[in-house]
Amino acid sequence: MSENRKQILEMLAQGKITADEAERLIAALESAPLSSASSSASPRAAEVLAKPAPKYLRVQVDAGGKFGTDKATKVNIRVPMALIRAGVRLGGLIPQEARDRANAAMRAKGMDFDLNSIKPENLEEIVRQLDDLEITVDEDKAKVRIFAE
Amino acid sequence: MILPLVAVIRIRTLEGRHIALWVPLFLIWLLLLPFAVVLTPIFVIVCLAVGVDPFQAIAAFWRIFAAFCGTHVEVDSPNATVFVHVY
Repeated sequence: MSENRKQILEMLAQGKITADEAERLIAALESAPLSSASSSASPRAAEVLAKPAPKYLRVQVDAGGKFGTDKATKVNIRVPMALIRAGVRLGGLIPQEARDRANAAMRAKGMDFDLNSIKPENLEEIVRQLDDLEITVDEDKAKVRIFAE
Repeated sequence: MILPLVAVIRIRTLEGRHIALWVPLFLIWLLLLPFAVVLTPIFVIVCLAVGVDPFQAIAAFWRIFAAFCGTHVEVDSPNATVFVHVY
């Protein structure tokens, strides 16, 4: 099954598009390139399909006027999404016992997060969702911006 | 997926000195290869002991190293500017 077809079925399962729209999208995928598929579906479905997966996670820090000088310190980091994918895949190899311990340790620190929920099968969806991520912290002395691109 | 081959490091100091380094990572991989060959049996034994497929583990580590291609770090401070890019 192709990636686009899988994505259409996932959107249908999540209720983002109707069965009729899904059928039109699949038909358009089979007969024409992606650009024409986008025009016959709902705007949301077309947008999701047309949008390429993000390639990088970017972290920008602007610490203006810190360290006793007028000049700002700027940090610009670009991490490939492939690194995140590889990390998740590596995490999938962690033995169950170790994951349970990590979960327990995080719960003890107040983070109710289950490492078992991150699986290589969900990877593409996780990366695609990161596309909508944008964290901006704006304080007096520093600005931090994290986003996918 | 291939491993990163070159890293470019550029440093500009407060005095205005520019240092540009092209680090040939492929040479580092070649230097590490004999160690990897020697350590592979130990790695496989450890993987089997903890119940992890050694081939999957090696593939996962390979992907991690390969995924460093395109990493970019830039720090611009009053004292120095550092630029690192992995190709």
